[in-house]
Amino acid sequence: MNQRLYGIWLGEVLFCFSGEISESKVDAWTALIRPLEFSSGGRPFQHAALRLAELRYPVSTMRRSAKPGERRGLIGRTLEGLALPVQEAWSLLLNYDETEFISQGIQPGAEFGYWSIAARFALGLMLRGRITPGAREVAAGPGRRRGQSSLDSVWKPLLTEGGDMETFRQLAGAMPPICLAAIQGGSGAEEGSIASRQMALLYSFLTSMINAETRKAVSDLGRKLNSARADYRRGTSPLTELWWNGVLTGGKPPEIQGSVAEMEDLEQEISSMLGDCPSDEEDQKLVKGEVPGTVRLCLRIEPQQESRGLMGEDNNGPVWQLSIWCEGAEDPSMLLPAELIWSYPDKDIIFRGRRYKDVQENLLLRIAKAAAMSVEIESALNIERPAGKLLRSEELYVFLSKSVSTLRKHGITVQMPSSWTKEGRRSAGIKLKVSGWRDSDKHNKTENRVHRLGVEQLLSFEAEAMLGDKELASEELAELASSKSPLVLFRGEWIEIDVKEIRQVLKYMKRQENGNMTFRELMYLTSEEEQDARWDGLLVEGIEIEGKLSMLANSDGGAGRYSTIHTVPGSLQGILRPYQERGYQWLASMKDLGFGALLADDMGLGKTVQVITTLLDGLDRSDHPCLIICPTSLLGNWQREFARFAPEMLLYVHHGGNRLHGDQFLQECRRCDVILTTYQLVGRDSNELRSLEWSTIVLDEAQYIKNYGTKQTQSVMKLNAPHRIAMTGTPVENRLSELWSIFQFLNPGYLGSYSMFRSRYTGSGEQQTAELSKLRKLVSPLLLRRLKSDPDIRKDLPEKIELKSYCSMTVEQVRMYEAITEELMTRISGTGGIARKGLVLSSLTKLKQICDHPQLAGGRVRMINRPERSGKLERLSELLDLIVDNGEAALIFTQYVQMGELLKEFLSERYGKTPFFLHGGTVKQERDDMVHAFQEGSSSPLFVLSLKAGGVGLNLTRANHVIHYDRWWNPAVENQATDRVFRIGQKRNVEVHKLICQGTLEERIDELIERKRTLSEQVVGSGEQWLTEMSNDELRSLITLHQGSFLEENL
Amino acid sequence: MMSRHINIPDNVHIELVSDGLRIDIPRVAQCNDGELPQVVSLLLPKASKDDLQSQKLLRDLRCHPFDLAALIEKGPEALAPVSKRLDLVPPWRYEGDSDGMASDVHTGAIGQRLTPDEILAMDYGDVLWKKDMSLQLALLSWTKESLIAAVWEAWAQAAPLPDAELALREAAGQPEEPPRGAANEGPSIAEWLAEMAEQGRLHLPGPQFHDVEIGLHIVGQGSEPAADASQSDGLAALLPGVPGAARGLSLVAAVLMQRAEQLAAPLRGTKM
Repeated sequence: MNQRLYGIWLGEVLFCFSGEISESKVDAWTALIRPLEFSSGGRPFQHAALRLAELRYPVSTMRRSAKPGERRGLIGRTLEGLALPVQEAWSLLLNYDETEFISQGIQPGAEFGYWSIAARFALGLMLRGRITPGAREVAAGPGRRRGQSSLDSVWKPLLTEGGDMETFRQLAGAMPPICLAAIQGGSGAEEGSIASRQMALLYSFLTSMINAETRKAVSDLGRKLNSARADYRRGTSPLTELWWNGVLTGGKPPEIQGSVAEMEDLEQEISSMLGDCPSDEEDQKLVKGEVPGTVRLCLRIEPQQESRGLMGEDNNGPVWQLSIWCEGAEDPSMLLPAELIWSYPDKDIIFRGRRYKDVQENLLLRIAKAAAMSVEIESALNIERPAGKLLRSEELYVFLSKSVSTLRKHGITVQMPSSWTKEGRRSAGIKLKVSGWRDSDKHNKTENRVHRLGVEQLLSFEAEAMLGDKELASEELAELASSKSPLVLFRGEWIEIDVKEIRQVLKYMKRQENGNMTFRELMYLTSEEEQDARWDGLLVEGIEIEGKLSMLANSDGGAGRYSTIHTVPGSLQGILRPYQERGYQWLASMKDLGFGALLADDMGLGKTVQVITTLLDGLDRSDHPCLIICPTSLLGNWQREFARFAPEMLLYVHHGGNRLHGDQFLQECRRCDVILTTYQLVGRDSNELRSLEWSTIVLDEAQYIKNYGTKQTQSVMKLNAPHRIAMTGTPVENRLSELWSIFQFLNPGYLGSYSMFRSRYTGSGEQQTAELSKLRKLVSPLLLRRLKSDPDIRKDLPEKIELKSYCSMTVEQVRMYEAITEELMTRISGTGGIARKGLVLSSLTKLKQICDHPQLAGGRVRMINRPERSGKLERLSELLDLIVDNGEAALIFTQYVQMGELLKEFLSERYGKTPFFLHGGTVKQERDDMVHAFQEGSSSPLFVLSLKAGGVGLNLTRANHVIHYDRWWNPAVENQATDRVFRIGQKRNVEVHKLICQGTLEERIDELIERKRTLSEQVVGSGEQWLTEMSNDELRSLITLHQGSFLEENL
Repeated sequence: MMSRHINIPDNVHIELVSDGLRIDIPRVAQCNDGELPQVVSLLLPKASKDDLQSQKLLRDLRCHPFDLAALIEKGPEALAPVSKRLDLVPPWRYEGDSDGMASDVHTGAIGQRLTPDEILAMDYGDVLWKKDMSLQLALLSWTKESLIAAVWEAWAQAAPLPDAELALREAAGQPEEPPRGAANEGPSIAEWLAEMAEQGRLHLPGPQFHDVEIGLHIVGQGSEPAADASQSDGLAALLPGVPGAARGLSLVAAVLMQRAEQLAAPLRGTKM
């Protein structure tokens, strides 16, 4: 099959490209293009540089009609191609012969013919010495200082002769639209009307060709030009002399540099004296608001009974009407019958803001030119007001087989009945019936062999030839392919076909009725719009996916798409909610299929337990441990969740300064089922972790690898595991770089290279929306995101979910905490009575404050905006990021006014909007205003409250999250606070987050409360007095810092 | 019409004037003092647009659009075969037209019988009639533009539109909608490209591409190109301190022409 080759002038090079965006296809194309050799000698593409260019180019060249009323523009996309320098382009274009390309398997775009004529025009000018010296602005480079500009001395075309100017204008006006597709500065191609852009681009092309050839002439002349050169002296001679010496330089002349104003003056002076790119005079002659239009000839063929104003019947078989139409070249919606043009009383027609000048003359000239190519048109010109002709079947056959292709090559539109409407066009293609995994792959699965890249697994399919939406029998296909005319009688209807396309289908069907494709390829095909899907260059008219595969490929992001029922492991200590069980089934199915899976459930839905269940499920079948990577602040959560749901799984936390290395680490890995570590340590212990084979790698808060280029992310990418899970609670599908990076980890290569991905999906506009919709289709089988608001999920959720978030402390916090504990335990032995109680209470308060933030307990440095000083604040940030990202609102309760102030300041800086802080000192009016504004939604979605002041009497149902930043020992007090949002009027499930510093008294007291929950009120009373009555040992055990409380690795 | 072969002497002055073709024939008149040079001025009148021959041409062009197209594209010379086919005769050769010729006021009246000078003038007129199609048109009271406009008018009258603008909108079947983008800037380039892509015309040159004719004709070798006056003046103004600039430009152009000829030679005759 022919590879496509397109070419556009980028101001300095002829950018040749295939239009493909897939890297592998571009590679294949490049491999075919580079060795091309032509009879004129040389391989012009052999050393051409690969480069990227941003072009407004459709993904597929297939015609795709815009929906009524839809305004679509082509968005810029980055395409890779070969950049032909001037000399290679000049030679290639001068000697251009389309047949030479076709014979080597290349189908060049029609614009190559255009550039070839433009090159010959340049040569014609040179033959007559029609050149002039000039200046050209040099595009700003990275080293250019602000306010500075540069000019180049160049040789330009001299277009002062009437004929040359007319040819220039004709050529510019006829420039194929693709030539203006580049989005770039310079060469004037991005400025002004289409006509002026065409002129600027053509002038740029001619200048480059003429300049290159003239430089050689200058070089040939060498010293003979000495007398013509200026005796330029810097600082005294005018800049024009420096410019002139540049003109008379054989090689590349030095740039003339100066201030922007100076260079503009010089360029202006030179161009006013010696000429420059002609201006778009036609534009200037037009009335404001009008743009010029040109007409093209359109010929329409229709059966007699369907045509307009027909003449008599013919007894010798069907009679066809060939009618003549006038079509706007720039606006095809201007399609008028010739009769109307001849009857129109004025010379110019103004239609949709375009002025078509001398429309009768232009149409007649187009008809006359067509007549030279077609005897049928010629005979239509023998009557007054030529409007068409009746053709008998045999005449029609001759017309279709001999004239149509020539006419179309010369820019004349020939419409057949089926092509009058966009909907009526019939394209030939194939339908793919995908039945399932290829046999050998199934075999692999039964042997439980490792599938490293599930998305690259092969699927079997059968192909069927299609014409439009009709399946073609092999005889029909052969008959259509043998047709010598594009107009055929098919199943009783005359239709237009593309015989070349039909033959390609036939060729394909002969070669490969049954084939294989990867799952990735299938997903790309199904994600394309119907009109854009292509397989092996052929249009895919339909895809039928059978069996279990269809559940996967046609999934829309919902749960319940799994191929095998997995029973929940009996060793799981707990009962999964129904949606969690569905999530587990999905994760397990993804694992079976070898696909990396992204579990993106809303926060609070229990992603961790679903993943633990999946790991438990594979426990007895795995030779290797699994690796879980999470932010440091979540280490404690994971530990607790494992201890709670899967106590039989042996866990090693690879964290802290005493973590194991070398053989000890290896031994621990062999002994344990799960290794838990942090993103930071994956970067730091990269070599050690990379040397191991993991059964599964789980990334929690996978957005941590969003920056693909960072060392940390690269280290994660290099880890080895056949099964990969990523978890995130953020709406990741809307964050493109994050999504790409996570998928690159889960299923390498599935979303292509980042540059291709970025160019395809980032941007704006309606077309972008369509592209993003395709992306969603692509990722949907591999991504599961359920929201708490989904009715299906909501019914499974309790109305109030309580979540404990365990935080680690920073070094600063730990040191302060230990100092206070030590001091308390030292001093307590020598005190008693009220003094002891006072000492205990004040020390406990200090400890709690340290857990909140070192600043509260007298930390020296005031840097509240750095959450890294407090592990709890860092955890809060992570939590709030999710809440804010999801458009939800939260109340944050603290016991300490100082902490409230710190939070207010911190949150204001982080989220750009100052939250309210309601405390005991807030006056009633102010408090009412705050509540009103919060409920109305006009304030920050975050509201800080002191537990005592905000705990009662308020209605704050806008929030569906309650965060207890620090713990009150009495759950009833906490519950009262929670009830600010969990009350009548609350329409959503409420989440209560309790932040607990791991290994500290916060954790101990929480355990105490949990253990004696039913008795809690009796045990803990209503305050903290009971703590003061503990024995010294009890107190020591309560406050001593336990392992696992550190945030930093190197403590 | 006569087809005698006649050469027009150089001293015969022929000029197209508003009423027709004025022909000045030099004569030597005998007088008392000997020979006296004299000029006989004769006016061959032109036809009006309504005259038979003028209308014959218009009628023919109305029914032969191909000839009309040739007139539009190539000018009056393209009408030579039409004139021949229609056997158009000059107005002074109209049969039965007794007033077909008027003498110049300075030479006195002429009667029914033609004088030798009149016969000669008509012969001269015939030669020019055949030779110069622009003149022929003018003697039929047409210009290229007026003749073309007359055909358009005739075609329009053959099937007049009661309301041309309404007919235009109805035929196009689309509401009037200005092209997108700022005034005089046309549609947005992105939308225009999308529309062209949708029409399958993204790569196709515009219709006038096929009108472009590039000639790679041989130019005298070794010669320097004719100086372009404005270019020489411009160069002198830009480089007052470089007297050899124009000469340098000329030298470069000459060498370039030789190089271009080497490139062009193998391309002549190849398809474009």
